[in-house]
Parts: sequence; structure tokens; C-alpha cells
Amino acid sequence: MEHHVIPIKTYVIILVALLCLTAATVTVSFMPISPALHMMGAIIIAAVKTSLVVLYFMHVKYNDHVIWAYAGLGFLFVIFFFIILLGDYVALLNSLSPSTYAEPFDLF
Amino acid sequence: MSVAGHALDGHSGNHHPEIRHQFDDLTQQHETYTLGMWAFVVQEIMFFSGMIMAYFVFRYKFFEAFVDASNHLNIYMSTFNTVVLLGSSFTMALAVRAAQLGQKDRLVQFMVATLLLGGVFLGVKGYEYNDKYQNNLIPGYNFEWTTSSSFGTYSEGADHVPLSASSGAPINYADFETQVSVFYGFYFILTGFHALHMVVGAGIILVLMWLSWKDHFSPEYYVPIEMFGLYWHFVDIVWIFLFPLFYLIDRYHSLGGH
Repeated sequence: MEHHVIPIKTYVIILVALLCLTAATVTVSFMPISPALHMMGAIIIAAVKTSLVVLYFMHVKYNDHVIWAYAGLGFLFVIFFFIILLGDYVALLNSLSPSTYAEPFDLF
Repeated sequence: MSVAGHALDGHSGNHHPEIRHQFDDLTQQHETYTLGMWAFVVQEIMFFSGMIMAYFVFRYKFFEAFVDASNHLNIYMSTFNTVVLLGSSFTMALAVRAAQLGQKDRLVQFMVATLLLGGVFLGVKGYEYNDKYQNNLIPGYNFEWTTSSSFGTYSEGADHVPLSASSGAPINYADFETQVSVFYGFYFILTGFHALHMVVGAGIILVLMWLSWKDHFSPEYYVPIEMFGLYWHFVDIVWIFLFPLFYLIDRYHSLGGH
């Protein structure tokens, strides 16, 4: 049986990239931009970091296509749930929001 | 295994003692194990995403309280912890690589490094939890929010400040304190479950270190090491999301901006 042995150099590059992205996400949180952009920045950077970990540290890049599909579908499902449920909640919260609570922020 | 038994298996050669009888060869067994482990990891992603989903709903609803509570968390320790956990993922990846190459000593060394970094992470986390306990920030136990708000100042009994940054509507103090406690509730549940996963991982890696030391693994058979690697990287991924979601909500408020 053959296993793809990834060179140490690749692992080091991925680690450095992950550390840089960590610095980036901290930097973004200190920038004076809108809450929605903060959220998007944090999620996009986290998604990129996750992709690096999944593809290289978890070897998905070198695995069988079945593993690709399985891992990909797992994350896709999560995104589906978030879009469907959050869309529903945002709509409901805006119509049911008691006046004592803070109003949701404007998106942009 | 007898010669007759071997013939019944229908295998020709390539008979490693670690092949379970339902598999044709090590490659098939390895792919099956990997797929099974991914099924577990995907299930774990669902488990955490449900809680993160709830977090998003309340973050949207109690935005000002979440910003203030987040700005109160220790950014230095959490950034340090993020670096430590990424480092432990790195050493675990190298441990799997050492197992692939049959380098027993390096395998054990990298697992020791992974365990130590995981221990550092949990130690810092424990310090943070203790800090929350000392400062009366355990929801349902001793919760009391006395920190001034970056959206304005308020004191107990005053019911007109802080103002909501978006709508300008006043937020009642008691409501605000409750909203902040919701943030800390999510903080303890999510980071707590994450820490629990790390404690479980630390237990598993101790067993794997022992087995590695006892020459249980070889370049042909190191599935448990690789499966544990998947688990450990998954725990790392959870933290990659928890870190910005809890510690980095609109940090520029702590600089005095709005």
C-alpha cells in the first residue's frame, strides 16, 4: 500500500500560513469597520485556516475522492443549516423584537 | 492462522496480522477506517455548529453586550493559546508523518510535544476560567457585570445608558447584565466542550504513546495514530472558529473608537 508522505517543508509552510492568518484575524478585529464586515472577515479567515488544516494536516488533498466528498458535504451541510436557520431568525427577530432590547445592526 | 484458513480468506499474500478479516488488504482497511473517522468528525462538526448557530442568533440580538463582554476577555492569552494549539496540530501532523516513515523515536517525541502543547493550552484556559470565577463572571453562579461599557457609562439603577449604537435606543442596565451573562454562558459551554475534547484527546494520546513505544505500529499499520491526528486537527479547527467568535468581536471598541 502506498501512502503519500508530505515533506516537512510543506507542513512548515502551512504552519507559518496559519500563524499569519491568526495575526490577520486579530488585526481585522481592531480595524474600524462595520460589525458585519468584522464578522465576515473573521469567518472568511477562519474558513481559509480550516481549509489549510483539512487539506494538508488532515491529508484530504491526498485522500480518496470519497473522503473529499464526505468532508466537503459535512461542511456544506453546516453552511446550509446556517443560511436557512439564520435567515429565518433574522426575519423573525426583526418582526418580534421587544423594544427594550437593542435593535439589530444595519448590515452595511 | 492455518494454511486452510488462509485459503478460505481468499487472500493471496500481503497478509498483515493487523488486517481484520472483513478487509481484502491494508489499503482497503485504511480507506475504510479513514472514512469512518470522517463520519465521526462530521458528526462532531454538527455538534459544535448547533451551539455556534445559537451563538450567532444571540450575538445578532444582543450585539452591544457581546462586544463589551468580548472586549473584556484576555486577548493576549487567547492569541497565545491559538498559537500553541496550531503548534500542537503541527507536531501531531509530524507525528503521523514519522509513523508513515516508521521513525519510532520521532513518533513518540512528536506525540510528547503535542501532549505538552495541549497541556499548556489547558493550563492557560484553566487560568482564564479561574480569572472569570474571581471576577464573578460565572452565569447562574455569581454573575455580576460591573465593567464600564464601551457604548457609554452606566451604573446600577440608571436605566438610560448605554445606548444602542445602531438604533440609539436605551438599554436597561439589568437587561444589559443579562445579555452579557448570555455571552458568558456561550463562552463557558463552547470553550468548555472544546476543552473537554482536548482532555479526552490527551488521554488517547497517552495510550498511543505507550503503544508506539511498545512497537505496536509500523509503516504498514499506523491507523490509530492517523485517526487520532484527524481528531486532534478537528479540535484545532473548532478553536480556529471559537477564537474570533469569542475573543475578537469588534475589538476596536477597546481602543476607544465606535
